[in-house]
Order: sequence, then C-alpha cells, then structure tokens
Amino acid sequence: MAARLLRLWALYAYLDGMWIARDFRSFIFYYLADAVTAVASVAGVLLLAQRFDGIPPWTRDQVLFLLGFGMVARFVPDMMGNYNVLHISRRIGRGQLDHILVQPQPVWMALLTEGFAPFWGLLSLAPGVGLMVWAGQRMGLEATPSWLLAFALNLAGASAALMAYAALWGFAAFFQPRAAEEISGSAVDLLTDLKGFPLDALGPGLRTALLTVIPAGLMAWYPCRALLGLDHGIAALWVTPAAAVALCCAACLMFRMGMRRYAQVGSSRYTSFGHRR
Amino acid sequence: MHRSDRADIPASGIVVECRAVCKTFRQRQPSERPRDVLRNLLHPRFRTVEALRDVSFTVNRGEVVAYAGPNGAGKSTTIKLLSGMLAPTSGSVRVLGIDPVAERTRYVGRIGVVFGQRTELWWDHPVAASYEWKRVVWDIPRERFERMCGVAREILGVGETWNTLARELSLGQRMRADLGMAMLHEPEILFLDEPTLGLDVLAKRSMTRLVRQLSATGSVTVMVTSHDMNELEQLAGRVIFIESGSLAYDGDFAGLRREFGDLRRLVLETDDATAPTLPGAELVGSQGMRHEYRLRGAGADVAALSAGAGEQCRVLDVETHRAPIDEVIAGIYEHWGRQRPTGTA
Amino acid sequence: MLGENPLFLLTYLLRLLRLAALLAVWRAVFAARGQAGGLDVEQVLTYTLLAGILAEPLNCRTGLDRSLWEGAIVTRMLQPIGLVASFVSEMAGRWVVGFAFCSLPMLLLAPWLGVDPWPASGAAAAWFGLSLALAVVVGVALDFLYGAAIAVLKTDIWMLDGMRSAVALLLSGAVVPLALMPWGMGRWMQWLPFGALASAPLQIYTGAGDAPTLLALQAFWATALCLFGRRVWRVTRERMVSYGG
Repeated sequence: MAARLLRLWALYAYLDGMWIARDFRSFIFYYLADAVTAVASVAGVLLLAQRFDGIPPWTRDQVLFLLGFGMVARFVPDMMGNYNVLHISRRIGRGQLDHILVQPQPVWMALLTEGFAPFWGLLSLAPGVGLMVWAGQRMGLEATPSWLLAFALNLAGASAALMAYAALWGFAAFFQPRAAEEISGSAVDLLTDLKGFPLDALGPGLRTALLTVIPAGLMAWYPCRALLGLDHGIAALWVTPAAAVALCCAACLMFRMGMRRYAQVGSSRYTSFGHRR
Repeated sequence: MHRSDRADIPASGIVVECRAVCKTFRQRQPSERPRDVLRNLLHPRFRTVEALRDVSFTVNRGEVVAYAGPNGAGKSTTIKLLSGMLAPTSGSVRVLGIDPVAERTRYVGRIGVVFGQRTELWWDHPVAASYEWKRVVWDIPRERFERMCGVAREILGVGETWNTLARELSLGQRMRADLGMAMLHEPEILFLDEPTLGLDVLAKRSMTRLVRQLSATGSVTVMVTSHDMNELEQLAGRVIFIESGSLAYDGDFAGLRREFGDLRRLVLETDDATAPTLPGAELVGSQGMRHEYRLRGAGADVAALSAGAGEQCRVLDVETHRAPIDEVIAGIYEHWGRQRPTGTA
Repeated sequence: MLGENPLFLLTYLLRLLRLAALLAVWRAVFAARGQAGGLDVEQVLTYTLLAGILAEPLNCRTGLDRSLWEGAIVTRMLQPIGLVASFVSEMAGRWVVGFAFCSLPMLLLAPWLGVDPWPASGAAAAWFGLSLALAVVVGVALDFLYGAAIAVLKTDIWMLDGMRSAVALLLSGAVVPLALMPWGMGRWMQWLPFGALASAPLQIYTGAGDAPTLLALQAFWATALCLFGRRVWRVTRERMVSYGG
C-alpha cells in the first residue's frame, strides 16, 4: 500500500510539475500570484504587530512566530488538497465523486493522492519558515530535540486538524450537497482568516468554540502558546495533536456514513467545473 | 485485439444479472413563491421518484446490448447501478459474478465506463498525460498499455490529438480520447452512456467502428445507451427498452418493429399532383407527383393499394421501404405518453 | 438558493463568529492605549462592526469571473439587458438575502457585542450613504477589470482569485484600518483605488476621516475606473467571449 501511495504521489507531482511548466508566462505568473497571496494574507497582522509592538499579551516576535507557524501549517493542506480535494464538498455536491468511484482503488486513497501538488504553495512555505526562524532567533528560542519533536507534532497536528475539519464540512455534502458546498467554503475560509490572530482576548465560550467546533485556534494560536511557553505545562503541547486525532476520527466516521448514503442516493447534479482543473 | 493476458476470462455465460431491481429517489419540491420561503426552509416538500421498478435482465458475454428509452426513463441510473456508483433500493445487481458496490475496487478494474457528458481526461493536460495517469492508477502492464494506445490511435485517431490539452479538444476528439482511455485496461465490459451525444457523423462512425471491432472478438460485452436509434440498431443485436423505470421490451430490433408496429412506407410516383386516396394507408406527404404513405403492419397489401391508386391516376413507379427505426420509436414514445397518467414522476 | 435549505444560515453564523473574534483582538490591542492613528477603541470597534455588516458592498463580487470561467458569459450576452446591469442586479439580489439574514442580526447584536453601531454624526451618516454608493461603483469597475485581466491572461480564476482577495482585503482597510498601519503606510494606501472600497466609507461613518476629501478621491477613482473599464472591455470583449466559450 505504501508503495502504491508513493507511486501515486510521484504521478501527481509529475502532473503538477508539467502543468506549472507548460509555458514561461504561466510559470512566472503562477509563482508571482502564489507569493503575493502568501504575503498579503499575513501582512495585516504583521503590520499590526509592528505598529503596536505586538498584540497583547503576545510580543511582536511571538506574533511573527505565530504567523510563520500558521503559514507552514497551511502549506500541507494546500499541497494535498488541490483539485478541490480540500474543498471536497464541491466535488461531492457536483456529482464528481463518480469519477473516483470508477477507479480501482479505495476512495480514501484517491482523496489522499489526487490533490497532491507539491509545486503549489512553495512560496508560502519559504516565508513561513523564514518568519519562524527569524522570530525564534530574536526570542532566543532554544530548539532542543524535545522542543523540535513537540514542534513537529504540533505542526503536523495543526495541518491534520485543518484537513480533517475541511473534510468534516466537506463530507456534509453527502447529506446536503448544495448547502454544504456553500458552508464548507466559508468554514475553511474562516480558519484561514483567523489563523494569524492571537485569540487570548476572546471570552471563554468563544475561545472554546474556536478550539473545537471551528478550530481556528488550533491552526497556530494554541500550539504556539504551548511551544513558546505562554501556556505552562507539558499537557498543552499535546492538545493540538490530540484534537487533530479526534477530528480525523470524526471525519473518518462521517466519510463512512456519507459513502453509505452516496451508494443509496448518488448525485442528481453534475458539473465538470473544479474537477481536474 | 489481443487478449492473451486475460486467458482466465471464460468465453461465454451471463456477465450482467439484474434481478427485480428497484431504485427510488427523493426529490425536493421547493415552492417559488416568496411567501413560502419559511415553509421551504422548515418543512420542505419532497416527492418520491421511482427511477427503476422491478427491472430484471441478463446479458451474456460478448453481447452488444442497446439500452434505450425516453429521457428520464432510468437509463443512466441503470448504468450507475451497473458501474458500482449506486446501490439498488431493492433487488440485486451482479456483474461478472461480483456485487459492484460491495466489491467496487476489484470490480471497476474489470469494467470501462464512458459518460457522454463527462470526461475522464485531465482538463489542463495533454491527452498523453491522462493516459499515463490511467496507466498508473489502473496499474496497467506496460505491454498492454502500449498495445491499447496503438488501438486508440489506429481506430479512434487519438494520435492526432496526443499532445493537445484536453480543454482544447473538440467534443468529437474528446469523446474519442475518452473512449480510447476507457479501453486502456482492456475491460471485460464496457458501459457507454450516450457516448455519441453531440458528435458529428465521422466521430460517430469511428465510435461505431471500435464497438463493432470489440464485439467481433466476442470477449468484450458492451452496453450502450443512446437516443440515436439508427446508431443503436447498427451497433447492437439486442435492445432493452425501458420506460418510466420499467422494462418495456427486451429482444432484437426486428421483434421491436413487430411488437410496436412494423411501419413501412409506400411511395407512389404518378402523373397527378393530387395524391390518390388509399384505404388502409395514411398519406405522409407529397412532393410534386411523388406521394408517400405510411403503412401499418406487415399485412398491408401493396399490390392492392397500387391497383387502387391506378384507378385514380396513372402510377409511374412504386417503392416500398421500412420506416426508419426512429419513427418506430417515436410511435412508441407517443403511445407511452398517451398511456402515462399526468402528474407522475 | 436560500429556500432550499436552512443550513445556508450557518454561513452567516460563521461570519458573526469572525466578527466577534476580530472585536476581541482590537480590544486587546487598545487595552493599554487610549488612541492610535487618530482612532480610539470605540471608533475601531464601530469600524470593524460595519466592515462585517457591509462585507459584500465593501468588496463587490459580481460573479463575472465565474461566468467567464464557466462560459456562461455567452448566454448573458444574449439577454436583453446590459452586461453590467445584469451582473449588478444579480449581485444586489444576493445582498438583500445577506442583509436580512446576516447584516441585520449583526446590527441588532451590536449592543450585546459591546459596540456602538451609530455613525459619528448625522452628517457622517449622510456622507456615508454617498460614499458607500461610490464604493460600490469602484468595486464593480474593479471587478470588471479583473474579469478582463483573467480573459487577457487566459489563466485559471482560482489562481488570481486568491491573490485578489488577499490584496484587496489588505489594501482596502476592511480588516485593519489604514490609519493603524505602521510607518505611515496607510497615508499612501489611502490614495490607491482599493482605499475607496472600504476605508473611505468606514472612515466617514466613524468620523475618522475628512469626508469631502475622501468623497472626492472616491469620485475620481469611480470616474477613472469606469472610463478605463469601458475601454478595456471594448478591446477585450472578443477575447472574453472566446475565453468563456
């Protein structure tokens, strides 16, 4: 199975590379758009942190680290979720799941590989890593092996949480195809919008909501609190990975229920837009 | 076409088996009146659509079967059931001895599906890239892949668009490329759902050529749906007719003509622009002194009709021919339309 | 669309959640200081609330890009109505639904969120109406220019769309008021057409900007972009249709 996954990822990497390199103008434009989007999406908070020397109780450097973390955490879902795999509600709601069902492989395997586009989003990875390294150095952050392990776990947890969360909303399309397509997009956008903000000032109810139902806080804020020592105690380091596992389990359950329903009702709609393009 | 690497496939026997298959859907029926917005939100109305009702049939290996019926009859639903995309509400579907839904991944590796309105090609990539994608995902041995690419190039003319982006293909080119791609893994059964929709004559012809070549081998079973009955008659030896979800006819085309009216045409060329009146024949139209009549049933006496015409004018020439199959089908649809109670799904 | 399923309302709930989060962030930022960039916390909260309430008019999206991408532009051109009127009327219809199910509840919830929703003065309210209308004109003109750009570049809309959304959100001042940008950046950002989209009407509403100057700037951009847009449309019309087809 692992060999097949690797073969499929290699195939989709090849397709992605061929697509990007199809002509020089597209190549330049693609990366330009990628870079501008990456910078503009964090520039607001970045400039705010510069202007006010941080966003209380976060110092400016801590905010920079948080922004970098959020960018890198977002990179993996973006890299894995092309062709509307991250916004799977669109494919389910548009009847495009049928294209996967005629492939001789499990649906989960197709979903895990078909959206793989490693050349996409590279320019959000580089500034993200750069911001974290720069801010880490300015803060005198000591990257011990155990801290690096915790960092990797939290980063993977944040990425997985976003993918699972997007999948949860996306799989709702098995039950409400049109409504879920609309809501799923807004729900994922909300995470992207809020991932760069320190959410400490929120009331307890809102804060809980942003760590559970709409886990924008897991994208960067909570894991960074734990990693930068704003939350004391080892337990805080495990919250994001644990939440990611819980969200993944919920997504798997929803997927199984959805597939059972899809076999019964199928999709009465079909549009080719957003599929393999 | 070689099938040396598929020696395990038996040469005959039932490959498709549908038993008492029913499929129902619920359809939302929202009101368009603004005052009903709240009701639409909180208490929406639904209606139940019986897409298939108690449909049973079998298909033998190597058969080419036309699956026909008017719009909304249940053709695409049947193809989806047979492709493992949908499960029946009741009844059973087995293809190649497999339950298509329960064992989907094993099953779809042995079938090919082409939907006329959908493409499996990667939109922003050349056709060649889509074929390569198929080779990897379907795990097709290199030798078979190269051979079937050759078939696609030779019969379907895919070679000329090999390096063209899918989005830049014409509909005909795209469909040919799609059909060629569906054949790459040498499926045992090919389901073609309206594969010639919107295609020109030449594109249809190359499709037909491929299906005929496949059927000539006797090892590939083809089920094809289309609204073009002439094309289906050329392709298939057997036609299954479905209407409002129920099986209405299963047999050959000759039988279909017999059962639903063997419409024949009588064309008389006379010396008079006024068409003679012939009891038992219905005038379809006149062009100058050429008059065309519709004859119902095989028992119409052409000699007697010609003689009757000769009493009214001088008959210069007499021709008879079978009405196009489309006309038979139109007659059937009209008949069903009259029988169907209003307001049903 | 809305009549089909009440779950659509969740989209609006998510917007409310986003607004609440942003308000909390601003409170934290201003907790230790009374004023910044000529704005006090009350003004910034009102500014953010209104940006949430008027999210659609302050960032006009007519649907032209999608129409081009899907090839539906061809059928639009067969309708006995101007292209701009067709898209704008459809967009306005969507706003009505959004206003009823999202903007109005947000406005009603303002006291609960601890925000004063009222304009700085009666005059500010009057100028704001005009400013909002000009913002919509600028927004529609930019949207049509954006449509022309994707047709000329013959590229996928999603690639440009992400860039456009991120840039517009930053430069329009819809999330962070331009006056709060560091190094005086906000001053020159105000002169860009994006500033006419959100920053100008919101500044006027909260009494944070000079209304006549802002209105004059908006009027300039509205005129310039409409004229430029018309010219671009004439030049690229054929290309747009062939792109969409």
